[in-house]
Amino acid sequence: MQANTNKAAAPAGAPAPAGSAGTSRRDAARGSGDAAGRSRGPGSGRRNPAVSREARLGLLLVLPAVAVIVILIGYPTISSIWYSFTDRMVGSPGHFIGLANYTRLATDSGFLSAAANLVLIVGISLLLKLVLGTLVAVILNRPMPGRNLWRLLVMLPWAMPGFVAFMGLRLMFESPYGAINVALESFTSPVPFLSDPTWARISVVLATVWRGFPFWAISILAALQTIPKELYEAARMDGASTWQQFVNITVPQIRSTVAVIAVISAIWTANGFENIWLMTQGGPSTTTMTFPVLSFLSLQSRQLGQAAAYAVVILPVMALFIMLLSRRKKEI
Amino acid sequence: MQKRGRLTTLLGMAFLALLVVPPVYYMVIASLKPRSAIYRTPSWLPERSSLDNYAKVLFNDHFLVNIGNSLIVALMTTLLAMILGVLAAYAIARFKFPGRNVASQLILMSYLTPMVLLFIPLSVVVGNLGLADTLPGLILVYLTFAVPLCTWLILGHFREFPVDLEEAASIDGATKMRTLVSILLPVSAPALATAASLAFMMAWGELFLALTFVKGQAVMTAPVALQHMSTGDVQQYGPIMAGAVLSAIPVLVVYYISQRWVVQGASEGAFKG
Repeated sequence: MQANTNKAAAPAGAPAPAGSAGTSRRDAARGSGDAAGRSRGPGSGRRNPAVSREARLGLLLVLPAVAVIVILIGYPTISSIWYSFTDRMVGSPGHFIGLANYTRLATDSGFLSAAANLVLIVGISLLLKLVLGTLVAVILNRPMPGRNLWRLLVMLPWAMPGFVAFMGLRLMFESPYGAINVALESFTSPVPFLSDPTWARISVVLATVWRGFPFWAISILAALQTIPKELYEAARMDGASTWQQFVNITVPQIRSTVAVIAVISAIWTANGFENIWLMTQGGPSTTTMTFPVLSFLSLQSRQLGQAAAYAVVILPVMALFIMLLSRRKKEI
Repeated sequence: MQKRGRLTTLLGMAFLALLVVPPVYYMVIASLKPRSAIYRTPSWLPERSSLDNYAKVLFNDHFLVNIGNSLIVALMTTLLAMILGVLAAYAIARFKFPGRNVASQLILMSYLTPMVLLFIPLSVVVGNLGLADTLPGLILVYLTFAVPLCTWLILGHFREFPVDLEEAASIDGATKMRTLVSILLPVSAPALATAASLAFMMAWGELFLALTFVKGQAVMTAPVALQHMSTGDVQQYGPIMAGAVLSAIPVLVVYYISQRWVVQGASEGAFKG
């Protein structure tokens, strides 16, 4: 009874700390106003009841999120690494087989293609997103009628769900009846955009760029808008051309923003699944294979150990991206 | 000189329109064409428009159920992640307790952990919990990206917000939790909106995990259902595009409302701290 009234008195959203007795808790809550106020100062390391109560409440609040992370992220991460050293299948726990799943990669065409595409598809997509994103940001930064509407329009590819974007793009690149082939009908015979190895890579890159460039454009636009106009005015007085202004003022001013966006975008693109899955499923053969698709396909073939090895082997690359990211952060 | 400037502006606008509009336009007119006319008479012109495809996808293909599933999953994921995120961020930003730094590092690292690494053991965990092929199972799995994302974004904001107001409130005798609800949350509305919008948008459009975790027609989310339609024997582009257009609408509405914050939030989530 006592505990019940106490719970009702506590503000909404506060789960009652387990094991604290009703009355004493209410008293502590009353009294802690002053104590907490004082304990906030520089010398707050002092041990007093209010502090340990604070520590308990703090732990309690952070516990659900940490539990989710430990159970749903930490444990699976470690399991994945363990699985990758076993021949585990769906329905069979498997045995430790050392590095067999990894040594097999050297002759695995899917893996080799995914590794190459980390540079070819992910790398080239990033480069094109940089160029296109900068160009669009520069255009949007000029005075133009209905600028806010244009910004909204430009964001459309990024704002719509990924699967919608890539299903639509698939329809563009289809052969022989896709939208691009229809438009080219009178000039050329149908181009096998998705079934020719080279064209498939190009199409996937173009689709990935279309989906991702708005994020670059809007982020770069935000950086452009922080550049003081006086810099450009001074440069114009000195007779600098538009291109010279871009190279000598704009580029240095947006460089650090671009570096951060590049790493984030690299992480997203390297982990991208919809772009490949909905366009080519990694094909033709394994030409457009990437690590997420590779891993997904091997789960479908029930080879859990091998699927885990595909996922683990990309970890050093991810770790590198994350290291780059935290270094960039410090510079800003 | 001025004439040249206006020409550049016009060229710029034409470039933006040509860049963005064609795929969207084609998708929309494809969804409006009579069934299979996309293949029989492919064209960029919206001839003989009809809503047949929308009727078919919604009523014959039970897509309404899939949209409903997506809505449940996205809303529940967002709600749970926001509750856990606000509590954890508040604790890390304002409380002193052992393991505080570890918790904050853990959240950043888990935000950057690739999904590919998690989904195989997760399918075992979810199976053992008896949640395989259920919406709660998928929601649980979505917490793996939504909780770190929300916590990290909200934490960044809480850390920036000066503690003075809250200290004043605590001198007035308000409890910690009352301070959170009545002072910190209201002033954090934009950050909360950003985190919630991003979580909703990500959960709504997620395909990779959904393909692994929900397989039955009754529990499929919108992207999974459309993906299945597109790999079926007959590629029915009309209804698929109608479904795609329908599933884009809720996300575009959320994006439109929160656009001022979302882009910045998306990158902040990754590089603050």
